[in-house]
Amino acid sequence: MSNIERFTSILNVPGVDQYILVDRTGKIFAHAMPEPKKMAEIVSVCGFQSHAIGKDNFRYVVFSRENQENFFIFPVGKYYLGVIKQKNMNNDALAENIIQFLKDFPNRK
Amino acid sequence: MILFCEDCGKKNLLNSIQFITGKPGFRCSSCGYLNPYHFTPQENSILKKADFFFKEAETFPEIQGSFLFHREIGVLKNHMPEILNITDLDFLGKNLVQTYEACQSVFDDVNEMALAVADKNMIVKRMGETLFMILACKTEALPHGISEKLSRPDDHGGS
Repeated sequence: MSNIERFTSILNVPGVDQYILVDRTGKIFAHAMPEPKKMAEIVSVCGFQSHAIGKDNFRYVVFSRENQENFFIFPVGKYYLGVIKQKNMNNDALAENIIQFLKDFPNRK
Repeated sequence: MILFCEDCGKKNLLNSIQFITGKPGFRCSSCGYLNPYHFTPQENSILKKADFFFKEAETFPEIQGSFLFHREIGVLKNHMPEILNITDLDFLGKNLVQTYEACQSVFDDVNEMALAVADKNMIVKRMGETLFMILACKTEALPHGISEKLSRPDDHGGS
């Protein structure tokens, strides 16, 4: 199983509702969301802009929404990961869960 | 943005407004006339209240600085640490606002954005169609009191 295929295990991370993994051109490598094409461009554009500001210190960007399904973007090497949060999870906890998942990911089978 | 010269009527296609002799405006590409930029009533109202918000922000130790950014003009009011010059703030403001608006094109219920960089957060609140308050904060979320006031600028800030 390739690394990208194994990425679907991110859905087991507490608080993750939907996700999409794209590169800087917006090409989709993995996803679990109903309208991936629309989201791919946003994730790559917002990820790239955030990277331009934070450079190597860019940790994530979060967009808070009235419906509480907040939208996160994380840098993952040459990719960007977009995540939509479940309503009942707070932002800090989700961010820490994802960062931990990304740290552990290379060692997962 | 398209603006017409007040003197010759020529159409000017502009990427941004500049501050010329301390006031926002643009020089006509055809006749060279220096046109003033007129803020909308909503922009004027928020500009009047901005100092109130800066004063409020200073009462929260988590907030390390803030500035008011206009999508076309750039930095209007600056209360950020001096280590960041106006060019830095313009770059920061432009990128943050573009990111915010890109996301809002998909999710129209976005009401706040926080960019986590190292141990700091840059938080963006939309104050009107063109104006954004940008705050440097130690926490990822703004303190509730100030967040509420920034979300409804028309309800706060006196006059």
